[in-house]
Amino acid sequence: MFSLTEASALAREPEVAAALDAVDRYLAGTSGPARFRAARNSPDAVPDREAYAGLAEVGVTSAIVPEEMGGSGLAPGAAALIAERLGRALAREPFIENVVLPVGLGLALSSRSLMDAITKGEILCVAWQEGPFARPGVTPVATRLERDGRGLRLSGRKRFVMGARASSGMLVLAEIEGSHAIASVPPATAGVARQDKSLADGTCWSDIDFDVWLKERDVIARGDEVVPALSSAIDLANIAIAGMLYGLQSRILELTLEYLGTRVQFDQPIGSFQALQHRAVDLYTHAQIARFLIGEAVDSAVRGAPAHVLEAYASRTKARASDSGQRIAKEGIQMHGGIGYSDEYDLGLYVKRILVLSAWLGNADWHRRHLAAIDPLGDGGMT
Amino acid sequence: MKDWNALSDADFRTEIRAFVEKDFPPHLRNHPRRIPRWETTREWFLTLSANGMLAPNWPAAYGGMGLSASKMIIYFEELERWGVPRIYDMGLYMLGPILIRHGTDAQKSEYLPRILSGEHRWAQGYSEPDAGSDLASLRTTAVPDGDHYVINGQKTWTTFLDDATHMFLLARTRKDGRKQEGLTIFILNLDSPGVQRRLITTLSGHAELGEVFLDNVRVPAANIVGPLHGGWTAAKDLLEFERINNGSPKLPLYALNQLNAYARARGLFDDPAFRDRFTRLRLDLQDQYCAYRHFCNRLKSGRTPGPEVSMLKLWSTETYQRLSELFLEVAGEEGVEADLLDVAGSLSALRLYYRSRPSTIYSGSSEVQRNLLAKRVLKLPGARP
Repeated sequence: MFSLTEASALAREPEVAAALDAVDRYLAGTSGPARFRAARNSPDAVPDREAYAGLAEVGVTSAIVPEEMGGSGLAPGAAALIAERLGRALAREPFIENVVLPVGLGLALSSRSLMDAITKGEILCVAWQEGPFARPGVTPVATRLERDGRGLRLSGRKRFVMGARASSGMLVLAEIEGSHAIASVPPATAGVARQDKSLADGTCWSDIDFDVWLKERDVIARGDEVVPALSSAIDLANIAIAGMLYGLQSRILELTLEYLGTRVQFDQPIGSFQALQHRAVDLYTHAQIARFLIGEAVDSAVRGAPAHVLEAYASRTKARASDSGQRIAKEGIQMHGGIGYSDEYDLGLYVKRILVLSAWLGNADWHRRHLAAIDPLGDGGMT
Repeated sequence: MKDWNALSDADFRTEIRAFVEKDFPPHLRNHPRRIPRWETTREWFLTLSANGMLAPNWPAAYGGMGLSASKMIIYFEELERWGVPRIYDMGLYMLGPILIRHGTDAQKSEYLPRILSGEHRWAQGYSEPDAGSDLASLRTTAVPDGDHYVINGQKTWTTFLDDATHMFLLARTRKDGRKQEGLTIFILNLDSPGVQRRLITTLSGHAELGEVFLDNVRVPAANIVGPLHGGWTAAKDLLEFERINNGSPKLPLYALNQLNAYARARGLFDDPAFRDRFTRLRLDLQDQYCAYRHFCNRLKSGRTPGPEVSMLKLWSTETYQRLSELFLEVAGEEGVEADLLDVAGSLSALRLYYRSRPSTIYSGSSEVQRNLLAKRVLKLPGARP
C-alpha cells in the first residue's frame, strides 16, 4: 500500500528489483531501530564504517556506478528506491552522504578515478558547503586553492559535511584562479581539523578547517564543469533523500495505523473514532502525493537526463517529502499520545531522522523558493 | 480513425492547441457560468464531435480518441488553458464508460452514437432528498410490470437537468437483504409520462441544478444497465471513474490560471508573502498530476481505479478551494463585488469562490471520501462505508 515500487516503472525492472531484493535481505539481517538507537551519539566512526561495509557487501555502493566503470549500471534514480528501503528500516547506513553524493559527482564528471576509488572500497564524502544551504555557484567559494613555490595550498572552512567522520577521502570544492576545482584530500592529513557536530537523530556532520598542501594530481576536476557537476550530484542526493524521507514517513504511518487499531480507550479502539480516522486519511493522502511524485522523479533520473529536469524534480521531491514527512511525524506523535513522546518507543527515532534529513541540503522552504525562481510561472509540466 | 497516440506528446499538444485556438468560438472563452446551457455550447460540442475529438476517454472503436493518460491530461490542459467551458459531458464521462463496460450491444449501438451526436443529453439520477452521502439508502422504487418497470420517487441535485433528454438512475428493485444489493441502474427518457422537473438556483445565481419527480413512470426492462439488483457495484465502478474525473487537475488548474492572471495584473508577485503562498498551492497542483497520471495508467492497463482514488478527489477539490480562497483574500474589497460575476472573460474572485464550493459536496462529499478511505484502504476499525 505504501511502497514506492508500484509508483515507479524503474522499480519493476529486473536488475533493479534484484538489487532491491538484495537490500531487503541485508536489512532483514540487521535490526534497524535497535542498532540505530545503540549507535546514537557514538563518539567514533566504527559503527559508520561497519554499516558502510555492509552496503558494499551487497553491492549497494556501486549500484549506480556505470558498468564500464565497474558498477552495476542501474539508472541513478534507483538510489531513491534503495534509500526508501533504508529509511523504512531506519538503517544508519551512510548511503546518501558516502555513496549517492560522491557517485553522483563521479557520474557528472565522468570520472573513472573517482569511481575506481569507490568500487575499491574507499569511503568518500563531499565537502562543499560553507554556510546555510545555497546551490553551488550562487555564493562565492571562500575555500581557496593557491599555487606557490611549495605546491598547492588548500585553505578554508567547510560546514555541515555529512559522512566525514567515517571517510577515507574528502572531495573538497575550492576556488582556484577565478574558477572552481574539486580537490581530493585524505582526512588524516596534517592541517585538516574536523569538528563533529552531533545532530537531532544521533548522527553527526562535521565542520572542517583545511590548511593543507596538495599535489597537482589531488585536483580531480577543475574549470566550468565543476559547479554544474556538483549541482547535479546534489540534485540526485536530494531525490534520494526524498526517497529516504518517504520510507521513514511510511513506516511512521504504519506504526500509527497499527496503534489506532489496537489502542483501546472508552471501550473501543481509538481508530474507530471518526475524528482520528479523518486525520489518518489526511496523512495517507499527503504520503500518496509524495509517493507518486517521487516515483515519477525516480523514473526521470536516468543517465543523460537534462540537468534542469532533475533540478526541478529534486526541489519538488525534497519540498514535498519533507513537508509530508514532518506532518506525519508530528501527527504520529500526537495520535500515539504519551508513548509517542517517550524516548523508549521507536517512533521518535524516525521523527528525529526526518527532522535532520529535511534540513540537510536545503529544507522545504528553500526548495520552494528555488522552484519559484527557476520556474516562476508555475506551469512547468502543466502548459 | 486517427491514431492520436501515434503522435508525440509535444506534437499532440501543438495539434490540440491549434485546433482549439482556431475552432473554439471566441465569445465563449472564460464563460461566466460553471455549466453554460446546451444552446450556448452546442456549436462547440458538434465541432468537437465532427472532428472525432469529443470523447478523449472512449476507445477508438466507439468513436472516442482512445487517449493515453498523458495525452488525456494534455487534452484537458489545452482546453483549460484557452478558457473552454464545460460542455454537456455527463454522457461522455459517466454513462459512456459504464455502457462500454456493462451495457448490452443493443444499448451500446442505441445510445453511444447519440451521445456523440448531441441528440441525447444525459443527467445522472443518484441523489435523493434523504439519500445524499448515504446513497445506498435511496428510496426511488422500480417494480416489474410485464416487460416494463414502474418507477416512483424523487431525484435531486441533478446537474444538466435543464437541457437533458435522458437520465440514468439508480432505483430500488428489491427491498430485502443488504440495502446495497437491491439497486438497479435504469435508462430513462425524460419525456416519458409521469416525469416532472424543477430547476434549483444555486449560490452562484444560476439554475444549474434540478430535481426530478417520478410518478408511475414506465420504463422498458431492456433499459436496465448491467445486472438486475447489481446496480450498486456498477454504480460504484462508475463512482471510481467519476473520482478520477473529479480528481483530474483541470479544476485547480482553472483556478490557478485565474489567480495567476489576476496576480500579474495587480503586481502581486512582487510580494514575497504572496509568492510563497502561491508557490505552495501551485506545487500542490503540480504534484497532483503525478498521482493523477498513476490512476489514469492503472485504468489504461485494464484495472479499476480502486478505492484509493478517493484521495485524488479530496486533494483536487480542496486545492481548488484553497486557490479560490487565496484569490478572494488577495482581491480584498474587489473580491466581494458582484458586478463582474456574469461578465465573460473577466477575472472574478467571487465567481471562483462560488464555483469551487460544490466540488467538495458532489459525487461523494469530502467527509464521505474520508470515511471510504478509512474503511476500505486504511482498514480502520468500525469505520463507516
